[in-house]
Amino acid sequence: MGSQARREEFEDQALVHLDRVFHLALRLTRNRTEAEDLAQETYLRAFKHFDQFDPGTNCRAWLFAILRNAFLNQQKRQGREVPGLDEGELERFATEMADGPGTLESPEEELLKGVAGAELVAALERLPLIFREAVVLADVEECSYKEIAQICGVPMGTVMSRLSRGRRLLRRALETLVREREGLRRLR
Amino acid sequence: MTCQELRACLGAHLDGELDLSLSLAADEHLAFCVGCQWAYARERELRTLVRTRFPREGAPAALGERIRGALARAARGPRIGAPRRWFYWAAPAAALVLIAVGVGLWQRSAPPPVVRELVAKHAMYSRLDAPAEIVSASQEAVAGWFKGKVRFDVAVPDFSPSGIRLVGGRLADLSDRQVAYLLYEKGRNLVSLFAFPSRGLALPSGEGASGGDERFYVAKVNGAEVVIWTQGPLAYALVSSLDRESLLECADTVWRLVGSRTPPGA
Ligand SMILES: [Zn+2]
Repeated sequence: MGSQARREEFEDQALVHLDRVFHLALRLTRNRTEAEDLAQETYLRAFKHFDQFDPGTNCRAWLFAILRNAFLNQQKRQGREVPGLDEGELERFATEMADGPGTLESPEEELLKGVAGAELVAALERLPLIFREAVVLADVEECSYKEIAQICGVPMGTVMSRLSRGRRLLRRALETLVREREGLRRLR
Repeated sequence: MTCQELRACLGAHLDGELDLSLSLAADEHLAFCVGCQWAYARERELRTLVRTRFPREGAPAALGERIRGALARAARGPRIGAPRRWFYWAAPAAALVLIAVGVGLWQRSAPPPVVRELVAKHAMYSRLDAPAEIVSASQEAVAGWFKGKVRFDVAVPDFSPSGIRLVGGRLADLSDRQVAYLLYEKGRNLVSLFAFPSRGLALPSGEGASGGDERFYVAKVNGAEVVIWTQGPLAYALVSSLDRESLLECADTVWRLVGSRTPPGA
């Protein structure tokens, strides 16, 4: 394939997913400028390795996997939060957070009804990376567990447990946010 | 299936990710267990909430064009494995390990977080194929581009007498603040000049610097030379793998340029 044709082929297959790639980058980095750079880096890497892409498979999931790797490498280079170093501790943290008092008794179905999009984003951003990415991939990007397992390079069982913890954490973060908002309103 | 088993796979059941036999067992349990029905409904509500209300932001319009441009350059440019546009010092991973191992020995001279973050930014951008948002060798054009984008006046110095030419500029950030980032190059070395409001930042100072020039803090971090100083309300940082002398010369140029623009006492 000529280099021009190769690039066109790549743009047709991969660039259509730019919105999703940018969005995942935004949720991982939590920063617009960094997300744009990460998206660009993802595409350049993907282009370099385009011959390794199997056209029969899901291009978006392939891009997500590259993006995640690029992100983790950046984090390591900058000495920032890297997941998986002490997963046991993260899981304990999650369990404590999620099983704290109040989970069962309050009727937060009502509470959650008025949640706004911005609050969902804010709540999600409070989650540690491995739970945040599981929830975003499953519930926002609507990836299958198998895709998530491939993207994150973990077994299906791990996807399942991270996701269920992640959702519990998200619920608690949302409850906290909503209560804070309600508390403020009462004060006014 | 017990309640506990069901709760463990509730989400997967909801996502349709259980195999057939488990899924049937789950349904069977749900048919008679009110507590689990309730938990299932809660789980479903949260999932629906996220799926319907989470804002799925699209990419900014300019990003697609920027990436197309970078891809075109990558396709035209050097093949895989060939040298990149800018030299990047070898093995950053190894450098990090060295820092970790040497921490006990080097604690006294360990650079502050701000310095490390600036060096990390420089390293990251020297690896990107098209890091500048405005590509121009014109000082006026680059300075003008920043107007309205940052809340301070950006001085764009001329380093051409030292053979260092302006590549362009971009926005970056540091902790919570905006940074005006100017990119220069000499041969295959990237020279990064960062300018940002200094208020509230723990910045190193050049006080007591060996070698005499107390205006500037200098350090070598991960193989890169760093020069930092504060002048008026702004802090400036130069990062490059050029030698320290060249970088100090640049710093002096910026110092004089900024000094000439800031009214005394301001
Ligand atoms: Zn039950």
